Order: sequence, then C-alpha cells, then structure tokens
Amino acid sequence: MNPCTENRFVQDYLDHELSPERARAFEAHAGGCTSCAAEIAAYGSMFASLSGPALRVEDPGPSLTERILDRVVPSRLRARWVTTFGWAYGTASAATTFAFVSWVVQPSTHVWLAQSYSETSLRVVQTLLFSYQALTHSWVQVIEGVAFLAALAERSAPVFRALARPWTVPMLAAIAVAAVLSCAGVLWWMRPRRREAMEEIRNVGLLGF
Amino acid sequence: MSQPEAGLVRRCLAGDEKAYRDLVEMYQPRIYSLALRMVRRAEDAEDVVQETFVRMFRALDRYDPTRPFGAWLFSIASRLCIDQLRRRKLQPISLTQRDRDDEEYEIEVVDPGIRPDEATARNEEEERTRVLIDSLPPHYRIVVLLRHQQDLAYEEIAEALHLPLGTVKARIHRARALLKERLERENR
Repeated sequence: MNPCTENRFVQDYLDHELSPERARAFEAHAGGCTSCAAEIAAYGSMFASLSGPALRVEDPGPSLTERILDRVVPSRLRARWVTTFGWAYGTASAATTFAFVSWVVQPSTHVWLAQSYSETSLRVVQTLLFSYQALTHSWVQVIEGVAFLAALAERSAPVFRALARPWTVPMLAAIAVAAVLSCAGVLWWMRPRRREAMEEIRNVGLLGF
Repeated sequence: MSQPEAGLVRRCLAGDEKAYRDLVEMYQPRIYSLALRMVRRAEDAEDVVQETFVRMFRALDRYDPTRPFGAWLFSIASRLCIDQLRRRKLQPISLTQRDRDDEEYEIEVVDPGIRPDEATARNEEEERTRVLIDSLPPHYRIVVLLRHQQDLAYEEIAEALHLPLGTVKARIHRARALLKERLERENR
C-alpha cells in the first residue's frame, strides 16, 4: 500500500488538534483512502493502549508521604534538628565524661594534679593581693580628687561673693534685668527672616529704627 | 493555577502543615508513576519523588502563580528523572540506532523490575505496551508519559520541559511513530 501524503494529519486528528473544518475534510478523505484508514486504525489502537492500564497512575503508599513530610514540614524538621542535636550533645557528653574519668584515675594524673594545685593556689593568692592593692590605690586617688575640688571652691568663694553683691541692691538688679531684656529683644528683632519677609520690611534701617 | 492548588500554596506559605500533606497527597501518585516509568526502579522513583517535593517546597516562595502548578512540578520531576538516568547509566544492552530524521537514539533492553508472579498476573497487552514505552529513548519517553499518562496539554508539556511547542509536538509524533513501527514489527 502506497503511503498517502495526508497521513501526516493522522496523529493530530486523533489528538483533536485539527481545526473542525480540517478534521471534517480529513475524515472525508480517509473515508476513501485505504492508507489513511489503516493509519488511523493503527494509531487508534496504539492511543487506546497508551490510555489503558499500562500507564496507570500508581500510589506508592503512605510511607513515602511520611518520608517526604519529614523532610519538608517545618515542625518535623525542627524536631529532627532537636533530636540530632540531642544525640550529638549526649554522645559528646558521654565521650567527654569517659575521657575525663579515664584521665583522672591514672596514677600520673594524681601527681600532676597535686603539683598544679599548689602552683595554682599560690597564683590565686598573688592575684587576690594585687587586686586588693589596686582597689585601695584607686580609692585614695578618688579621695584626693575630692579634697582638691573642695580646696578650689574655698579659694574662689570670695570672688563669687563679690560678684553676687550687686544683685542684693534692688535698683542695680532692676537695671541689669532691663538691660538683659533689651538685648534679648534686639537680638530677636535681628533674627534671620525669609526672603519675602525681608522685602516687605525693606525700608527698615539699622537695628530696625 | 487552579483554585485548590493556589489555596494550598498560600496555606503552605502561611505555615499550615495540613496543606503540606494535602499538596503531597494530591501529586505524589502522579509524580511517582511518571518517575517509575522513567527510571524503572521503585527505589529510584521514590528518591525522585522525595527530591521533587523537597525542591518544590524550598522554592515555593519563589513560585510564579501565573504558571500552571502541575507543569512547574513536572518540570522539576522530569529534570530529576533525566539526571537520575544520566547518573546511573545503567543500560545493560544498548544499541545505537538512527531514526527517520537521522537523530541518534538508543534502544535499551532493561529489566522491567517485575516479579515473575506479578508478570504472569499482568495482562500481556499491558506488559507489551509498557516494555515498548520503556524501550523509547528518555527524551521521547518523557513526552509520551506527560501526554498520555499525565494528560498534560502540549503547551503544559512545553512549559514543563522548557521546550518550544513545535519541538514538543515533533517529539510526540516521532515517539508515537517509533512505537507504531515496533508494534508492527512485533506483530509481523
């Protein structure tokens, strides 16, 4: 049987990928073409096999689901980390304890410990003495500093008293207050202004008078 | 993305652990079936499924909801299947041939991984179809599986495999033509 050029449409036809007009035209052609009819039958049978149980979807079961969830669910991941950390910590503790106890029970360790103890206790006493000395010295320095400030205050007291005396006379105090207020008022008048505000008061002379 | 998947993805991102289970249960059988037919060993297929979901959940916050969720998941699974096959390189008897378009492919004779008692119980026709599909080169097998096992549209297959639509159509057509030729050869 000679192959027909229209055979190229067989798969698209069975896949429903042809436009309705093209599909109708192809059906009409296949009705009279043995080659295309045979192709449709062959591919049709194969399409049926591919849609059959050979490619059915299989469920691997809940154990796989649990294994996946163990790797992705945040709380399970945390639990896994905690378990891992717990085991690591427990193992490290056991190993350290075992190593320490093994080391301690050695005869040579006893001698070394005794020597180390005497050396260590001597160094501890030296450190304590040094700390005490340093602390005492610091306190002396502080006390001396306070005494210096007290002496300075005593020497400068007459000067402060002389400066404070005019304020005890009401007239002098009133003049001083008036002077301070006047100065403050003038400074306020001379404060920086925005450009337009400056233009509005263009004719104001020196100090605003 | 369809509504249930969109909702599940949102719930997963919000930390709802029930949504994790629902999403896995929704897609696990489909991913497993695809992987099983691709890598043909139950243990390897399970590894692929696990890795697919792990990667999917890790990348969930970067997932673009305008893309079809199934195609995205199948793209991860397909890549892992191909990687698994490349890594394994377990092809006991491999005959290199050329198809009509002078494209090189290999016919693999493989152990379908079925116990004798199962094999006798299975339908002969079903078994023959499966062996024929298994004999296809991986790049043809994956398109046939996505089309006929997973019922994905051509566009979704193109999205999943990051291939142009024309290439996907051409591959499916060639794969079916190969299957038909072998079927006819067997029937002679």
